[in-house]
Amino acid sequence: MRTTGFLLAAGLTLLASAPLAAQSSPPPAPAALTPASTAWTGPRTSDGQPDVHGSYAKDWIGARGPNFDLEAGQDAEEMRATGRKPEDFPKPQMVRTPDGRIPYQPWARQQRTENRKHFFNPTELWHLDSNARCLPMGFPRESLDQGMDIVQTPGFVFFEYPYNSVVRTIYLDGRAPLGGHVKLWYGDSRGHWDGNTLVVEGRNFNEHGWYDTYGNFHSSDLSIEERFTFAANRVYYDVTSNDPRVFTQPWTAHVEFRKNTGPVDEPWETACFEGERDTQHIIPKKTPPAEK
Amino acid sequence: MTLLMMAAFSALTRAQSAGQAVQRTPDGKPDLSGVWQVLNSAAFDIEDHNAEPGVPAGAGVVVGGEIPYQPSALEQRKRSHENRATEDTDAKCYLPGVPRVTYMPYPFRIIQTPERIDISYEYVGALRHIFMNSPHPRGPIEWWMGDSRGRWEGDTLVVDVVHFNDQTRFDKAGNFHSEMLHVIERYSFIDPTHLNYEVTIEDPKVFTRPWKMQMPLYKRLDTSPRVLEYYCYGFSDVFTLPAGR
Repeated sequence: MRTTGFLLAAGLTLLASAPLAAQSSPPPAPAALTPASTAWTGPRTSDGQPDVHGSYAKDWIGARGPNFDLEAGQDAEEMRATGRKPEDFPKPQMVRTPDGRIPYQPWARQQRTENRKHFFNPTELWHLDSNARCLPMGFPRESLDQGMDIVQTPGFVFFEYPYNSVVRTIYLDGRAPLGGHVKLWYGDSRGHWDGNTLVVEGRNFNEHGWYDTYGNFHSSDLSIEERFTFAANRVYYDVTSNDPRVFTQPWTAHVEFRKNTGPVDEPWETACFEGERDTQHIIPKKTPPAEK
Repeated sequence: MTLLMMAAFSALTRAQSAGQAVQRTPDGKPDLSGVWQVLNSAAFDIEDHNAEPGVPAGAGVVVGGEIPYQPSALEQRKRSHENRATEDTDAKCYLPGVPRVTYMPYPFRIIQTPERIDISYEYVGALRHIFMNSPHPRGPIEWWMGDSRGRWEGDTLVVDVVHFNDQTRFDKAGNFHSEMLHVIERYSFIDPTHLNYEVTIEDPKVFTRPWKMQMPLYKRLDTSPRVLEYYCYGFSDVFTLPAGR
């Protein structure tokens, strides 16, 4: 049963990843969902930025998001393991490629399938989603997965993610990038405002963060360009991933957020790692001993 | 104490006479924004201490020199000292509590807005929210970093912190507290690039009376200061990655 499910998943994967060049007329790229950038007409911060501070909730994904699978399509492995049906998988297409799939290089598609295969039966530490172990989510997953608080001070935009109690700092002062060999879960992010759009260049990512719980991944060569377009209390978020080691070409994911205009709960302590007791039971022999 | 205050006062006077006004936010409060760090060995031991392997000797940050433990607490302090290599939060890479997170030897960024002052610490990526002019939630709650409520007393930021657990410690030497810990922090400018950080500690289960720590915080004046990442729990993990990654 397990093998059947896996083969089915592998088959779907092969179909979906057939090279575009082999097709007579490639399907068109999906239409842009983000309105064109315009001038900002709203209030401004003391240093002249569009004032967009506040709390934002994800508002686009229907019942499912990258908490499950960033890619379009049904997941045979999950259907087998959970009894979900094809109709349980409706969602807008987050990956804005013609087929909704991430343009992996062949080895990377195989790796992604391998990551997915181990999801329900992990035996090695790398089989586990880092976030399931209370390690950081990393980027861009954190921004695709959860709502956020935006805080602005002169020269900075801060994205705070209450779910993991994480803050990401966007430098607007044009500072030099960090050395390329420095690798971080949340990368190094430098940005500027283009009308009502915050444009952010991100690099210096490590290779431990996935895009979702499904094993969609990148390497430490990843660089991203993000565009946060603010219009009518909404954020249209497009993140383009470029990783020549893993993908055949850059690709863009899209999600949207709405501003919380009512009362917002205070973000309270999460302290995930302090209470983490699962990993040693999932993979008993692989858990390193406590540090001496 | 008096000497320290006099030194602080004289530094303040110097700054004012040099025309270096402390920067202020649009609402007129002293602007604490920026990257700060301590320059002391309090993370190892907040009291006066000898050098040990990997530990610099240091004069303590406890005002008056010694922590006023209750006699009954001294046994626990001894145990905490003995098991520090395995049971201290720094060995486990857990959130270190307040005020210890301030004097860990890592930078932190203060993000100041009128409603909330957030502090982003490099150490274990801790993010702390200081909610301004609002009451603590009703307990009992036991958090690693407590619940922080701030107010301005003149030009001093006063932060009242309660709702701690009994798992965090004050340093690597085993100085400890109970879940009854009550911390009052005071942040005030000495001059535009130095803050006076004064902390009052109360814990009726462990100490005979309230006591204080005092130390300066130094503004990082590097060309482009950044708070990076010290997720130490990632270091001990073996990410045995498959070939090709």
